[in-house]
Amino acid sequence: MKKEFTDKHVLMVNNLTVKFYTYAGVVHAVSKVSFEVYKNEIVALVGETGSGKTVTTRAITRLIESPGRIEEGEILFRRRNNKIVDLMKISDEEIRRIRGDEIAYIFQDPTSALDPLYTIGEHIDETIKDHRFIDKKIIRKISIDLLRKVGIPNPEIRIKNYPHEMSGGMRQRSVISISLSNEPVLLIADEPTTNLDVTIQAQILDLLKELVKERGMSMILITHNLGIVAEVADRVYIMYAGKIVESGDVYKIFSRPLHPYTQMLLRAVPNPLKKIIKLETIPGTIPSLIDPPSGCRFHPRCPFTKDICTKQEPPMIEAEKNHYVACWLYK
Amino acid sequence: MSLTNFIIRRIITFIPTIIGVMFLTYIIAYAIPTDPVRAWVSEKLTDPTIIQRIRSEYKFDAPWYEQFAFLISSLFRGELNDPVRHKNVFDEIFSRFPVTFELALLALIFLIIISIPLGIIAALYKDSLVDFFVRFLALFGSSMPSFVLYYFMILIFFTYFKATYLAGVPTPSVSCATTLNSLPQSYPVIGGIISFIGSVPIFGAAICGEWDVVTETIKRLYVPALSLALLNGGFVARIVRNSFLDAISSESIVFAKARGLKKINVWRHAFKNALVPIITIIGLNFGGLLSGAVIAETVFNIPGLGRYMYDSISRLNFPALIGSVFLVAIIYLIVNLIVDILYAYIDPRIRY
Amino acid sequence: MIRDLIYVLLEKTIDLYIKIRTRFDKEYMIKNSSRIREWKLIAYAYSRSSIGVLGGLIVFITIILAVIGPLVAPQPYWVYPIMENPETRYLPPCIPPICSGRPLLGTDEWGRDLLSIILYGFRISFVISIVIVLLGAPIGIILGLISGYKGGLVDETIMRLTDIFISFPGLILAIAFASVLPQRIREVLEANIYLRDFFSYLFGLRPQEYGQLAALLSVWFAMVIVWWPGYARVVRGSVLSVREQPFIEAAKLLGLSTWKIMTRHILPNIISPVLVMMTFDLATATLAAAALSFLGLGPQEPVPELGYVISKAGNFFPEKSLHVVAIVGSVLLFIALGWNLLGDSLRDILDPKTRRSIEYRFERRRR
Repeated sequence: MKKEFTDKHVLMVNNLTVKFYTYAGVVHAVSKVSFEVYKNEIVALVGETGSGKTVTTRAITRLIESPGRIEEGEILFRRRNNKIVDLMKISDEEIRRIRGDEIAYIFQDPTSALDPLYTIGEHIDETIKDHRFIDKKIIRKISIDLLRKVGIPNPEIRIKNYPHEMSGGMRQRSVISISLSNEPVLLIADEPTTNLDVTIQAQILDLLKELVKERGMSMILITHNLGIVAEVADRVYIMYAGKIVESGDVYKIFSRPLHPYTQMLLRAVPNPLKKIIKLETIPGTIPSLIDPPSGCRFHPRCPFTKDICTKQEPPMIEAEKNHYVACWLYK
Repeated sequence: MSLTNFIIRRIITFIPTIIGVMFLTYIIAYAIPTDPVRAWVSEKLTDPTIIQRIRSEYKFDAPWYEQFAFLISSLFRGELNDPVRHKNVFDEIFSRFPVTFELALLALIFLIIISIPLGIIAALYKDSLVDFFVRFLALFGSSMPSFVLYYFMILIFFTYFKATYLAGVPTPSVSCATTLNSLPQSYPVIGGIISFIGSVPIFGAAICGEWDVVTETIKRLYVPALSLALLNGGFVARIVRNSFLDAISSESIVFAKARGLKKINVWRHAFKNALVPIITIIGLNFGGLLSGAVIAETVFNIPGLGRYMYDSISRLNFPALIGSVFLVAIIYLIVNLIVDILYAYIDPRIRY
Repeated sequence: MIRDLIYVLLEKTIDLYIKIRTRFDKEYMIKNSSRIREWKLIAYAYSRSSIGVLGGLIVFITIILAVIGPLVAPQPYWVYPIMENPETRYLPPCIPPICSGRPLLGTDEWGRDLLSIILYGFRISFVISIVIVLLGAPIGIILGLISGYKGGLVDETIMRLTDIFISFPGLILAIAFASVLPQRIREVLEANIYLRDFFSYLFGLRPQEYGQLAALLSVWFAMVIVWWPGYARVVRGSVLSVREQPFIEAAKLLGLSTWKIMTRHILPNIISPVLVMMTFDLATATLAAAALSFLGLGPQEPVPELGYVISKAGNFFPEKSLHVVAIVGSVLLFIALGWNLLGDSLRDILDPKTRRSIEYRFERRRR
């Protein structure tokens, strides 16, 4: 089911497969994952730890390193100059140029992402410098403005700070400012608020929402927190054991979750759109990706398992408009 | 907290340590029951009045705290007198320290040349032949008794190949030395600095352009320097390797790549992060070398500070001992201080 | 195959130990099940480490030779053959079938059979290194624990003290002690026969040589003094990082005494790098003791300390005494190598990063 890369598309990932060759065996981290991102939208990528969310997003710009390998996949991206390229096929130098410039990342833990030996200013400056030819003084100005934009007070002073001289929230804001420094087309935020206090979380999320809408960017937001998804996302992709099991408009998914995994996820947390009586847990644990279950990967934990679920992988079908699911319960 | 603050604080902690070292030296000297004066003059006379005079000159008949104070004040006045040779101890020390310095410097250069490239290659090509060789060298260096290695190096380089010699250390000519010594009078600051640098024989010769002295010095010292480097090189190479591996695989390097930094800038980040443990270990090694590798100086017959210290205590020559120990302790602490400062310069987190 | 054998051997030893403990405490196995599993994991990892096994073999041989050396040495070390026959000095090795009638490995300065000298030497080198580490390490560990845990003034004082000892040239301390102590120790040994005999037999020497024994003991004493600061520093560093962890706070809240917290909770968590350090230090101590003897600070003839034997041979190197330097040097190399290999392997085993792959293989094997 190959879709067409339309005018509205910014990113289209087709059949991405990433494997890790470890001492214990081959880990099928991501198996034939396909998804898309449109212009000016926020897409959430949801899943438990180990579902493959981070690996998927890092694979987009070929940031996977040994023992990992991107086995197959086509990643179509609309560049700023409107040209469409397959990120899997371009040269190393070209993808370096795209990274940090047109596609930017926000990592989960700002403390480990930032280099403790360099100031924030140096981080931002070098990110700009390696992509654009601008005078040093102007770069400095841009950096200070960026810090101001993300809500850091006294940016002229803060720009000379080292990471350890800042609080967690400020560090994450700094990381955001680094990522925005070259006005990217696509922002990939990997659990940007998980390591922060709840009050800061809200601020950062609001900030991200505002920046995205304001600059006409698109954002892929990775999270395992459904509350955040409800707050911020336009569309959602639910991942399980390296595959996408359900996707679609956020309202549709929350009001009518189709895949049993999604249903159980929603029953495990308070749902802003529906009233539920009791919070439940999902029995079992995520499967080993070295030896994934046959057929549908969720079948060992699924309450509705049928015979075919153990034998064949369900295809992704359009259950209703803008709502897709891969489950044998639906035809 | 700035760098200067850090430096000042470190220097302040320096002082009690030095005093502690001196006190310890003194206790050792004091605790030796044998009468040193007899040892000094035994070859000459046994006239009791002379012995008594020497005793009071060195304040051996005074209570211990007076003796200690006397020693410290002589130290600071730079007037410790060697009873055996009737010279100021510091003259002797300052003529021997530069030789130790030359050897240590040459050994350090060899050490860096061997260990850093090997360590980096071993990190980049993990589990390759080079990596295996680094492990082997580290093992060899720490298992081999140093004196045995020295003897074998002598066997190879001196006996078989006759590519070195084992007596004396080349020094620049007399005219060169006098010129250098008179510089501070004509050009106070610059002259002083150049004269100071020139007190190390090999530098002095280089400044005067006496290149044959320079090459002779290297010819004389390269075998012990190489041996010293081989003994420590493997260990340092391993540290370099591990430090690089840690730095390269860190999240901040992945983020640097994710930001699309040019390769050379990614390397710059990795390298700076890897540098800290490397500087520490190399600094420690250099400090150790400067403190006088007594065994190397003994086997290779080098008239350096280590050997001098050894001789002074076997002969119960306390002023010489105190003077040398003082110098060695100061050197060691200075090297540590420099390492700490460099460390703080590179890693801002340390400045607290 | 050898690996399995070693693992089975270690496993049996652990099981035996459990059996003995269970006799006193019926619940031992249940209370310590995770610790026991840990030991078996380490035993397994060790058996799979080639350098570890090799190192262990060398150490095993060293210990055996150290124990039986003085008892099986063909010739006594206190007899100087050259008194009777000057020709016996520095005879080169004589290996059958090429030659016969002379000592296998040649002779030393006084015509003594080199093989016997080496057998005595194993005992001396081994005992001295063990005692140095087993005394120096605990002192340093305890001081490091106190310093790191208490903090404040105690910490500052202990650290200053450590700094002083570290910046003090160890050699000078050793020389100083080697000058002062032998006299005093001699007097003590003369007065106390039990002490004299005990130490003599410990080092495989005759009580008659107690004068040289005094020199040996003073060198040893000097080295212990120099040895502890390293441990104090390392332990203090580890304690500082463990101290802030929640489980220590919990222990404090439970009202555990400081001593109990330090020994039961902090110590087991920092012990791994210390154990590795101790293993490496055994190699370092062996070589350091030999180096001090080389400089003439330790026991002199007739005591066959390996470093001293080499120093004497150095005077005739290489024309006559090449074999002495080479062979005795190799013995020292051998001993140090064993400990270094063992330490290397131990460090790899105890490294948390490589743990998961070891655990994985271990579980697989059990199935």
